[in-house]
Amino acid sequence: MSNTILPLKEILHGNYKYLVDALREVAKQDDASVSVHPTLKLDTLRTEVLADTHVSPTDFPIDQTTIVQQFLTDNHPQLSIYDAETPIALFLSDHIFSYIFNYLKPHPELTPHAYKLSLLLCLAFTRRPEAVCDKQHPLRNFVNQLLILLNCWEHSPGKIGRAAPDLLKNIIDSVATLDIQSNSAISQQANLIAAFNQQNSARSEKLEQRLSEIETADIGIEVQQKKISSWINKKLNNKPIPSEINAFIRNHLIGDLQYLMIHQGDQFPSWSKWQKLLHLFSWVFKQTDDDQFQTKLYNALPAAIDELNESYYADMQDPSIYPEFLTLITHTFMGLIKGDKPKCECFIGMDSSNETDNNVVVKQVVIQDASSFQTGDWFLFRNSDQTTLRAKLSVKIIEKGSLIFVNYLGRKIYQCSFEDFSLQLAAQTTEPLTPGSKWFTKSLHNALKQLEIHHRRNLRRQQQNRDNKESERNQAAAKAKAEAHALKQKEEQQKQEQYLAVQQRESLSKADLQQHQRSIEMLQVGAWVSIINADGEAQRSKLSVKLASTKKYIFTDRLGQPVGDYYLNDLIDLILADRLTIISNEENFENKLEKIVKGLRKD
Amino acid sequence: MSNKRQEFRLNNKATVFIEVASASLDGSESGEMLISNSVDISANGLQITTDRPLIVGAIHQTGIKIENVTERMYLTTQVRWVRDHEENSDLFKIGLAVLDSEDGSVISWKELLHEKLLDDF
Repeated sequence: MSNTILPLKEILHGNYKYLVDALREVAKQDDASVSVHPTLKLDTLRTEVLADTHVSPTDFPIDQTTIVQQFLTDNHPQLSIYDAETPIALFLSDHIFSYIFNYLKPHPELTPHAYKLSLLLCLAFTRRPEAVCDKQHPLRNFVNQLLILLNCWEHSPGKIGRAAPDLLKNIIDSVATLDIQSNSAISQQANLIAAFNQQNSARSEKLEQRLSEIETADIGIEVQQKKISSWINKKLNNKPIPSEINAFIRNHLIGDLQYLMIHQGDQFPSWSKWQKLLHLFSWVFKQTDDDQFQTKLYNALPAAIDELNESYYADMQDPSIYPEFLTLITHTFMGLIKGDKPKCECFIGMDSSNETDNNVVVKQVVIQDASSFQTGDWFLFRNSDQTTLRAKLSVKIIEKGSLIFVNYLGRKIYQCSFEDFSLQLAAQTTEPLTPGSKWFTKSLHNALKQLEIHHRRNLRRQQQNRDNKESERNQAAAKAKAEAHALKQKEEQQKQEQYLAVQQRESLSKADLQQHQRSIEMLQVGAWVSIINADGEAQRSKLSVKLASTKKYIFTDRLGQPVGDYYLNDLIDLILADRLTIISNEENFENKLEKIVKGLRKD
Repeated sequence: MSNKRQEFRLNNKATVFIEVASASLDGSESGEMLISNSVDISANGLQITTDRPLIVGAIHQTGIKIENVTERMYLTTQVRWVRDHEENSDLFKIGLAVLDSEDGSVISWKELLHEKLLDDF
């Protein structure tokens, strides 16, 4: 958040003074009042939210709309927000709760309640913006408790399952009459959710404890069992073994050795003997006629046959089945010495289903990522049908590479290996959930960024307006100059034309005409004349304008209302016809006004 | 009536003297000068506030003294529109068009407006 115009860092550090200054600065420059819709009042919005109007629980793109805008689109498209009269604090809180709501993705059953509460809390924060900066503020505590609940709640059948929706419904009803300025009233509501969360947490802890004990109790047994199966798998996997021996190993020997390993540990006496014998099995049945191999058999097998005695099975759980097995081995070994080739089949490893799928290579980095999560961390699992499941990592069994997840009530809902979990994270079918307590700060951070963007946009728009205005002004200046120039030119042209006309008329030696023309031209604006109209009535009128562009004389009554307009030649004709008489050449307006102004000054 | 003066306007303060009636010839009725203030001015017109309506279409001799301009301007103006003041019901707003009368200082007026438009932005 470097190079911001607004002091976002300081606000994020909880400095309320900076928030007030920032909101004031943004409001001062905010010219978003472009909408023609009526302004939305906060009280109106609150009433509408509390009324049983449509709420939109669907996802919406945060960069295109907000919870308040979405609510208005759904319910009151004729209303708009964010005009000059709407507090800019609403912009901030609207974005905070839009981010929270959009990213939180509560369980669908809680979504309508969450949406309504988000809108109401958004309005509450608009009225009490100090809560934005104060982590200890009752409103912040209210939001945090709510987020803890929304973040992890999953549907469960029965009374327990209905508890959270009922609680939120009651809280919405209480908020309807809540005095938002009263810290104790807000705390009371926050405490209700906190108590609910604590109750669930305590119940969950007990169940998790039991679950952990059960799961870890089996660890020793499984580890010992795995020692035997892994060793035998390693030695014999895919090696040719005579069918009967193969079957005995799989059906009896492995189980019996595991039993001894569990009860006596890896120091039980026959284990080293069996290891030696099984090692022989791993190579003596090789299907080859190689002389060297045959020589090796001659050296190894007689000694082995000599050692086959009851010490191999004395400590077994059911020793009675072993003499026959040892006899089978003896005969088979003797056959090998003679050069027989017994019918063999490949030994298939035990518990192969528990081994990592060889086709899937899980990068070590991914596994490390998975192992970095701690018990208590929450995750969102996406099912193939796009439904989601919230679960907490409750038990992490390193020895087994196993992870156990529980719901918010502490019930086991999922178990998987480290590797599987790593793959799910890598494929993003599972994602970690941000703890509810961190949602507010995260959303505030994003909302402040939006406020900064909004402010920058305003500043840019204003600069653009100033640029446009300057451009308009320059154009108007140029136009005024051009008009003045054009008038000047026309005036000069007319003077020239008048001069030429006079010259022409003089040359015609029409003295009367010249005299009349001059007398008209000498008329000053304000001069009174009498003109006999078509009905033969004399009408007195005042010369009000001598239009330079058209050479027209406009006459008016004493109140300025036009009574007639004539060209110069029309007026000369009227004189010649004795229909126009000049009564007085009035004092010009400048002199009259000068006298009045002097009079005013004296007064 | 809508304001049709589609021009860039300046909000300079000006005192406007309008001869709303001239004295009758026989002296029975005296002349009347209205003194008012401008709301805005442009090269081809001005808007003023008055405490009485004027007759739309009437042509008046008009003197204008713009703040910080020594010279007083003399123009012939015609009343183009009259409407109630939005903020004060006792007042009216009047739109005056500047006519290009041979008498008066219409050229000086336009030159002055040109200078003012380029100044102090």
